[in-house]
Order: sequence, then structure tokens, then C-alpha cells
Amino acid sequence: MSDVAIEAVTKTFGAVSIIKGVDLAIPTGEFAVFVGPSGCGKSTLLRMISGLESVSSGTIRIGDVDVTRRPPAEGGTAMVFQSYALYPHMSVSENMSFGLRMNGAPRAEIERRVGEAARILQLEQLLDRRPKQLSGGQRQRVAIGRAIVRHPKVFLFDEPLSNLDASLRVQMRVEIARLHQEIGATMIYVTHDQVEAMTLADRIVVLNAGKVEQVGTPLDLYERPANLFVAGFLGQPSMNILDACVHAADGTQVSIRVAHGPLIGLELAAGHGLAAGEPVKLGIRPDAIRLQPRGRGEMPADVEIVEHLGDEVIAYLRLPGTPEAIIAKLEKSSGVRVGDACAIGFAVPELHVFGTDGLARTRLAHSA
Amino acid sequence: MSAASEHKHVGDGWGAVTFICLTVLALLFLAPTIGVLLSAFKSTRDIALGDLWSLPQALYLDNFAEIFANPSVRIYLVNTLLVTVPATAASIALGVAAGYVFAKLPFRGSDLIFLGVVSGMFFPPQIILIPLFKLFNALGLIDTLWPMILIHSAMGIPICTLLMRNFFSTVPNALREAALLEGVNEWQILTRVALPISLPALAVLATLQFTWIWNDFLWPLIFTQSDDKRTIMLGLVSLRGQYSVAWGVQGALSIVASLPTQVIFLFFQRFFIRGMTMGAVKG
Amino acid sequence: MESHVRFWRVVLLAPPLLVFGLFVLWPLADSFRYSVTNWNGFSADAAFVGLENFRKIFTDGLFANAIVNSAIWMAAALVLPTGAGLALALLLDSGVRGAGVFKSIFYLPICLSSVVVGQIWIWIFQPDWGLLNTALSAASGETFGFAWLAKPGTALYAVIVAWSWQQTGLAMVIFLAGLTAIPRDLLEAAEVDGVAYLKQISHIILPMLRPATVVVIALSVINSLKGFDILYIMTGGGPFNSSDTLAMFMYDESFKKYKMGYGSAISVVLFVITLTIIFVYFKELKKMDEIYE
Ligand SMILES: Nc1ncnc2c1ncn2[C@@H]1O[C@H](COP(=O)(O)OP(=O)(O)O)[C@@H](O)[C@H]1O
Ligand SMILES: [Mg+2]
Repeated sequence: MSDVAIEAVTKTFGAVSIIKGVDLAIPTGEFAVFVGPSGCGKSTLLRMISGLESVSSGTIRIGDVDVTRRPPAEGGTAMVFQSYALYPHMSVSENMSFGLRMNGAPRAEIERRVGEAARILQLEQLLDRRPKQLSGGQRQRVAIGRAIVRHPKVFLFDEPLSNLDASLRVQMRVEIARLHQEIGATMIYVTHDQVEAMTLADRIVVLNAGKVEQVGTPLDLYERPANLFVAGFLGQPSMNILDACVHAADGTQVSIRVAHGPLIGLELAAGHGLAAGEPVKLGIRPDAIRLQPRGRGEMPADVEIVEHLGDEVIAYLRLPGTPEAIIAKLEKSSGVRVGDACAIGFAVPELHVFGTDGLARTRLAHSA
Repeated sequence: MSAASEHKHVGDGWGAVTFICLTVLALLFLAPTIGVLLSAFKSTRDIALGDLWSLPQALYLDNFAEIFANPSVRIYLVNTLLVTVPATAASIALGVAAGYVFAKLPFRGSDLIFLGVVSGMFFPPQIILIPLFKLFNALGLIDTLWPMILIHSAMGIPICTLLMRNFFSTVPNALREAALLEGVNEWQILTRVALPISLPALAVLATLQFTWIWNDFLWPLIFTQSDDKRTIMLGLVSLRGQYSVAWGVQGALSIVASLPTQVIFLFFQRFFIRGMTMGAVKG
Repeated sequence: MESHVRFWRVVLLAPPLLVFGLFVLWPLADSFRYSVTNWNGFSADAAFVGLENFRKIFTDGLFANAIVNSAIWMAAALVLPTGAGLALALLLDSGVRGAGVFKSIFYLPICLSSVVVGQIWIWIFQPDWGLLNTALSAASGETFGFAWLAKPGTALYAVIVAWSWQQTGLAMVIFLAGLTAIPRDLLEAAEVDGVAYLKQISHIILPMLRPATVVVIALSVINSLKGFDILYIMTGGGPFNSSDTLAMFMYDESFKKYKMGYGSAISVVLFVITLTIIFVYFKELKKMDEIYE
């Protein structure tokens, strides 16, 4: 059963179309992450699920109830805002219990739920403080606590960590993951940060310009990006995209010539539609690039810049006589140095092929 | 304190010159007020003898005794309170409601309505004097306190709406949305979230409205006739005849009439000046 | 969602708009209605007289007198409190000791009622022992007994002085707020360049104070149109109407002479004048917003 079902949903502000037809089903208990560049409509979609934003067309169902036109509180969602949105004149416990109090919940029930949320989030010592007296991370925990006390069917997070500094962000990320394990509710989490998306998500929804680009597990999207946008968006540093050209295509056997590079033979799933002479893009992740001594590999390259990240090294390579740059992620032990003349070796199984339409062509597993 | 403070003038002797200039100006500025203050503590005879500007030898309170023994003064003060307190409360309540809609629940054309309401602040009241006179005449409310209460409630709406709308605009939308998601209704959001945060703005408005209504002269002049319906400002003028040469008593009366607004002002001064300019500069 | 919002919009907006409409807008419209009648304030019936009242206004010497006085009043209200307020604000903003106390002192008169301010200044202008004549006598050695408020040549100006004394604090506070908004680094940059303080004022501070100036000027003009209480207390428009302003004139015609139809026509003229000024004010503000955005 799917807990949140989004069907053909669109959103227009005036004449501007922001969400251009989204279909999505999120199963109960799943941690789904909406990721995409700033301004692509992630928040708008989330706010439509919450009921804060009206839906221009389409349907949204939560637990089989059509909530498309319901007021926000009736959808059974709770939201954690980027700005925390804590009531500044209320203490932590008042903040968490406000909704329950306003709706006339019995006092004992309120106390039980606030106590439970405080325990889960380790806020017991802070219940009498005002938001002003809390650190950023503590404020965010209170905001989450306020969501927990409602026992919502669906938790909605809108970039909850982007106001925190880097180390706190990592810590809170872990706490949110732990929270999901502990209470097991459906969670939808919006972020523009792909690391958050990769680490937290059961499934990632990649959005771009108001449309879903791809839905899948983090590993799925990383290993099998459906198109150039997803390929470029996920992974840090992002995937190298090389110009190439189909040399010959015979059934599923296709050979591709990389500009300034070697001829590579691969096996693509039927229906790839590629013909000899057609331009294609070849994608290769920086960590799939091997450096070899000049003369041995398939493409000569010069090392221009080297960045040491501790356990890893990022090398910026340039193909001699071309403007093309390639980024490689190497082991610390690789010993690469600026000015090295070397050659690039591809791990062919890790190559991605994209047609002129930007869509990926499926590789057959046993191709070499 | 501001952009130019601390580093300008410092150490070049200008600071002392500025200080002396300001002190002289302040004394000149205060002189009229000090004159009234002193007169209130002197007998009419002393004042007539030209002894206004010396400090009183002993605490002379006969002038105050005189006015508090006058039953009219008490009636004037009570009447003024009976007008000022409800009208202040009503105008603020109405301004809060309108300001909340304009800031947090805007709709197509709401900016225009807002502008229309706020511009009401600028018109001289003489423009609507006659129709209001006719209206309250028809309602049989002439020579009661009702016209003042109702008119001040209405005439306070522009400034209260302007200030509250500007203040509510600074309250993050996310607070309202968080509450909405928790099933809190709009009324509860207004009274339990927006208003408690807006206490400074409310303090400013309370001071402004209280002072304005307390000090008003025109409306009681038009709408009251009998002595027991007068407000203190009107009473001040009508008592001028009774105490025409008793300058000390008049001084004491002025002080008593101004005291409530001064107390409120001093109490909220910090908020008052800040909020006042906020409303004015942000238009 | 939308329907709930609509409900609360109506619930919250209806009372203020109703009260405002009933006691402000409707009377305003009514003014126009009465302005074409000869209603006397008591009789149940009033005859329609067309534009007769307006024709009379523009041939009425008293109206011309009131217009001239209002213009003088407005000009003085523009120059005196604005200039004094600006000077005080600049002095206070120099980081002088006790700025807060000074600020309160200069602001104090604004909180006094016009009645009390009028009362105070009646004493100052009192011919026999008033502060002004006492000071003049002391300074010149002769006995001054000039009746400032009882002479047509000085009455209006005497009231204007009292009015300016009251309004200066308001201008000062707005200018101070404007000064506070000037970025510190702008002045520091100028300081580094060795720009003298007076030059700083004319080249940096005054231009940056333009928004505050527009507000002060607009408020002065608007407030001067409202000027009534203090005139009523100090001179009652006299002697011989020499200090009558439009607001005063309107009151006299309507509530002293009971020419309510005529009074309404004066209201309409007053309304049109105010509307024109407000229009210019908002246009100016808008221009300002565009510059400073
Ligand atoms: N209330 C609104 N009116 C008009 N445009 C809006 C409104 N809310 C959002 N937008 C526009 O919709 C687009 C998507 O916004 P948003 O969903 O906040 O993006 P994201 O969260 O992905 O960064 C943006 O271009 C934004 O300007
Ligand atoms: Mg967003």
C-alpha cells in the first residue's frame, strides 16, 4: 500500500508553471528524498502534499484519503521548516504542545506525548528554555519534536539542515536517520544537498524544472542514472561527460569512438536505437578512472591540478591539445603529481552511454 | 547609537561645543514647560508680583487642592477615561484584525484597500464634521460620550492598521504555516502567536492612541454641551473663565490634564519613538 | 485551505472596514451631498442649491483670507520645525554626551495636548507679565506691553511659533531615524578621505536623508492642514479673522453661523486640497522606493 500517492499534480503561480505533472507513489514507512537544484519546485511539491499550497490540478492521496483540497491539518502530515519556525514566546514544551493544546487534547495525553518526543530527541533538560536560549541544532530538534508529538502519518522536512554548520549537519543527519528507524513513519525530505539525499534516502526522487527526472534507491541512481541530468547531479565530483560517436552498431553490439580517444566496444540492451555515425555522450565517474603511465592507457592526459582530501586525491586532467578536462578521484597512494604526463584508462563496465536525447542506454550486465 | 556616533567630533573639542549648544537649546525649549510647572506651585499673588521664575520656598499645594476640590474636574477626568480607554482598545483591536489580513492573508486588491484605509490618516477631521454631527444628532447621541468613543475607534483604524500590518509583515510566514499544520485555526494563530510577538507594536499603539484621544479637543467641542459630559481638554478651556486670574490654578490644571499621557509615554518611551518612526518612514 | 482563508479574511476585515466605512467613508460622501444644499443644521429640509456654495466660496473674501493664512501656516510649518528638527538631529547624532536626555526633552512637547500647549504659549505672549515681554523688557530696559495674540499683524505668527515648538520633536525623531540608517562605512570611507565634517553633511548625510525629509515634509504639510485646536485655544481665528485657517473657517461657518451647506462645500474643497497633497506624497514615496531598493 502506498502511503502518499501523487497523481498528475501540477502547480502554476499566475501564468508560470512550476510543477509540470508529477506522478509519485511513496510506500508506508519509506524515507523518500526530493532532491534537485534550487528553484526546481521541491518545496512547492512538499507544500502541496502538506496542504499549505493549493494544487492546480491532479490528486494527492495520503493513506487512501484524497487530501487534495483538504485544509493542511487534516492531511495527517507534520512539517519541519528550514527556519525551524519555533514560536519565540513559548518554551520548548509549550512549542511542542501548542497544537495539541489548541485542539483541546487532554492534559495527560499532552504530557505523555511531549515526554515521549523529548525522550526520543534528548530534549528533557531543555523543556523550559525559550528558543532564543537554544543552539541551532537544539532548535532543529525542537522543531522535529513538535512534529513527533502530532503522531503524523507523514513527516515532511524542507531543507531542515541547511541553516546548520557543516559538522552539526552531519550529526543531525544521523539523528534523523535514527529517528526514522525508531518511529518508522513515512518521511519525505527535501534537500538540494546530494550527500544528504544519498545518505538518508530509501528512495530518491530527482526533480528538475518541475518534473521528476528519476526515482530510485541511491545506489540505483548512482549506478544507473536514467539521463544526463541525474548523471551530472548525483556524485561528487560529478560524472565526466565525454563527446563520442557511434562507430558501428550491430544488434546489441555497439562500438563507440571517444573523441581524442580509443574505440570502445559494449553491449547495449535491445532498442537502443543508435546507428553508426550518431553522436553520443559517454559518462564516466571520476572514481572509475585509472591513471597509467603514458603509452599504456587509452588516452594521453596531463595532470593540471591535484587536490588532496586526505584519504583521496582529486586530479584535474587535460587531454593534450584539446580544451577537454577530466576529473579523476584516486587513491591516496596513487602518488599523482602536477605536471605528470600519463594516460587514462577506462573501466569499461562502468561507462555510461547517453543518446542525443539525453537518455541513458541500458548496458547489458555481461558486456565487457 | 548611530552611524556617525563615537568617531566623529571626538577629541577635537567639537564635542564640548555641541554639548553646550544642546544644553542652551534644551533650556530654552524647556522654559515654557518649566514656567507652567513653577506656576502650579506658586500663589497667584507671587506670580502677579513677578516672582514666577524663582524656585518655590516651600511646597505650595493650594492650587492642586483647589482643583481637586472642584467636582467638575473629577467629572472631566472620569469622562475622558471613559472615552479614552474603550476607544483606544477598540481602535487597536480593529487595526490588529485589519493589519493581520493585509500582512498575512492578502488577496487581490488588498493592497489597494490598505492604501485607502491608511490614507484616511491624512485628512483633516473637518471634512466629515457635518455629516457626523447630523448622524449622531439623528441617533440622539449628542451630548453623550458615545460619539467620541465611536469616532475615535474609527479614526484610529488607519494608524493602527498601518503599524500592525508593518509589524505582522516581519513575523515569518513559517510560524503561521507551522501552526496551520498543527490544526490551529486562524483566530488562535492571531491571538496566541502573532499578538504575543507583537507586544512592542501594541505598546506603541496603546501610547499613541491613548495620548491622541486623551488630548483631543475638536470632537468633544462639537458633540458635548452640558458640563457633566465634558472631557478634560474641553474642561480646561471652560475653566479658564472661572480661574481667569488664578494662573497658578490653571498651571496645576494643565499638569493634571497632561499627567496621564506623560506617564504612559515615559513608560513606553523606548517603544514609542522606535515604533513611531517605523510607521512613518516605512509608509 | 482557500475557503478557510476566505472565511477569516471576511471575519477579520469586516468589522474594521464596517466601522471605518460608517464613521469615515460614508460621512465623507455625505459631505459632498450637503455641499450642494443650504442646510442650516437644524431644519429637517434643505434645498438643493447646485454649485451655488462653491461659487460663493470663490468670491468669499474670508475664504481667500483663510487660504492665504493656511498657505503661510503651511510654509512656516515646513520651514521651522523641519529646519530645527534637522539641526537638532545632526547635533544629537554626533555622539554627544546625554543624547538620550536631550532627545526626550525636545520630544516632550509632542506629547502635550494642543490645548495645554496653547495655554502655555498664551502665558508666554501675555502682555503684562508674559515670558516674552518680560525678557524683552529686561533686554531693552523699556517696558514692553505688546499684546502679541490680540494684534492682527502678529496673532497668526505667534500661534505658528507655538506650533513649531510642539512639532520640532517629531521632525527631529524622524531625521534621527534616517541618520541611523546611513551605513557607518560610508562615513568612515569619507573620513579616511579627509572630507571635512561640513562637507560630509552636504555631500553624504543630506542626500541620504532624502527619504526622511520627504516624510517630515509630508507630515508637516498634512499636520498644518489639520491645525485647528491650537488656533482655537490661542486666538479663535481672530482678531478680525487674521489667523483664520481653512479648518478654522470651516468650523466657524458651520458651527458658529450654522451654514452647514456652505461648511460642507468648504469641507469638499479641503478634501480636494488634501487629496492632491497625498497623491503627490505617495508618488514621491514610490519614486523613493525605486531609488533605494
Ligand atoms: N508563492 C509563489 N508565487 C510565485 N512563484 C513562486 C511562489 N512560490 C515559489 N515560487 C517559484 O516557484 C519556483 C520553485 O520554488 P521552490 O519550490 O521554493 O523551489 P525549491 O524548493 O526547489 O528551491 C521558484 O522559481 C519560485 O520563485
Ligand atoms: Mg525550497
